[in-house]
Amino acid sequence: MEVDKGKGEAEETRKVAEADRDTVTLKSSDGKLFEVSKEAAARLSTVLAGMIAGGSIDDNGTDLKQIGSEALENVVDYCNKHANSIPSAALISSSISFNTAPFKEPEEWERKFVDRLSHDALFDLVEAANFLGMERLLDVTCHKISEMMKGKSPDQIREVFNIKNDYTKEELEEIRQELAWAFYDD
Amino acid sequence: MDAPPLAAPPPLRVSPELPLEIVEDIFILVPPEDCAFLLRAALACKTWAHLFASRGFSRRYRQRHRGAAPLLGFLANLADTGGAARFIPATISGGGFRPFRADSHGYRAHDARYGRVLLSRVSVTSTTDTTSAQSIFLAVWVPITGEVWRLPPLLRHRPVRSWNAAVICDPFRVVVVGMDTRELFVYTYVPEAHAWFVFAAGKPVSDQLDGDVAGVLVSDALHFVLLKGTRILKYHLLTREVSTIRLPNRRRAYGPRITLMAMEDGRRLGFAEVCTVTNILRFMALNIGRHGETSWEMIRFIDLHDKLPAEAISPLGFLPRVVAVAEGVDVVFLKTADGLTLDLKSGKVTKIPMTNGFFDIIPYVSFYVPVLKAALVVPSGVGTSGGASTSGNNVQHVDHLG
Repeated sequence: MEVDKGKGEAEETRKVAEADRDTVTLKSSDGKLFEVSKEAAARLSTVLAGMIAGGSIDDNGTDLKQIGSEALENVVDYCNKHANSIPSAALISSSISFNTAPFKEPEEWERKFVDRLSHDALFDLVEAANFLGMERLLDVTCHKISEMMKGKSPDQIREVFNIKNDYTKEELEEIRQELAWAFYDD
Repeated sequence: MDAPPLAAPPPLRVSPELPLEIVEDIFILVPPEDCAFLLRAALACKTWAHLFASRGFSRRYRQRHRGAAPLLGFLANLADTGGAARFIPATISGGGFRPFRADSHGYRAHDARYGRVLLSRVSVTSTTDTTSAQSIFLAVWVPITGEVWRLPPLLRHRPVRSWNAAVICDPFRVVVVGMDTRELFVYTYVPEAHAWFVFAAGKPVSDQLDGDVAGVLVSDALHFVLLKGTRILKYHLLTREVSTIRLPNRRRAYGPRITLMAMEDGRRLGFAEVCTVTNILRFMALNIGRHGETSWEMIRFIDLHDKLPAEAISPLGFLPRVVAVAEGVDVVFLKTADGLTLDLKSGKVTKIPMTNGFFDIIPYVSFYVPVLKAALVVPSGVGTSGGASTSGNNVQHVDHLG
């Protein structure tokens, strides 16, 4: 009885200690560990918030098999930078569920944050943000990609997104005739 | 068109393509004023064209860019076409939206809202027979997609003395308010039934509807100017009540023309007018008191002498007047010796790119989300080379009308 009670108490203290920890450890697909503020993770990511609330956070590193270490490092970096900036009400409200709120332009630090990323890093980060349900980060990265596509031809867009042209010549010609205003080379 | 030749540089990205939901998240952020942007993306592949043409995409696009619909152009009821409307693009050079067919042969523009234009057939007979029946022929045109719906003729057994109409959305309806010698009537066209329904009828007011001034939608009510220019007719869409609102007292009957405006995001009625003596453009807004009493308040004025070129306001020339105000984008259309637009945000004055005279102008403020018919047609046999016969047969074009 004595032993059991002691064990129960220890369990209790461990749980309290875990709840008291103010960071969570995330593990990338290639096994690297990253620490991020629990508060920021819960606020910025609906998926991490759910995991924290549901107690499925692993102290030894919560497995995020879909996210590579470079993208996860950027996610954590974003969370930390976000925690350090003074978040405006707009940013907080836009991190709730499916985003249909009017788009808010990226803030200066967010712009700098995505500007320094390589093409591949940006595309990996957009997928990570989508996977983790980070609406604001998704907005900021998507906005960056959409800016990159400004003025690009369909050919150039295809190249960036690595997709195939499935229009027939006849279809393109039909569209071209109907929508001549939109074609630069006409 | 298949695999790239071996010598070609490797694509920037070799990982699997992005999930469609992320593609949507990216292109939903494309700025509305850059019309060709989404179109070029839709031309990347058919899957994307389908995505952008979906109702979900355009609904989300509108939500994310709320209040930012650009002025794509306007419909001018031209003098040299006998009043038939022509779409005039807002930007003359490069990348601005233009409909495939700009002319609505034989149809005059009455109203435009949320991308739909309400047209009425220009009557060919000018006889004012006071005994015969009369029909009003209306059509709804979506310049962005080229679609046209011809509405069933609205038949009245007595001659209609005056009428005006508006197109509304959510749900899509067309409302006609008119008067004959005996009654004031309100008809609503319900697309689901493809029929007109009488929604209200009552005694005519002692004035006529000014069919040349577009109505406005404010707080679930349509407002139309009455001809004398001393009162506004109000039809409430939910209560179906008809009432009138007095314009400021000092306005003379048949004074300078006013243009109705929906102010404050469609919650407050207003109007714009130019004083013929001072050439001051002023904006008036309606106050409604606790007991329904109304009063008008001037909320802004602009001295046109400061804005317009001197020759536009010559004392012997044309007096400038407001012909239209584009809701949401704060652009005023003025008619002087030329047609001019005045951007209220930048103060910039632009000459309307038109060589001919016009009667009225209906601004066309809308988002442009491409609907590529050629891409949306379900192929008869995938992989076969029968892609040439994909012209949208189910779409009537305006020039097939009338």
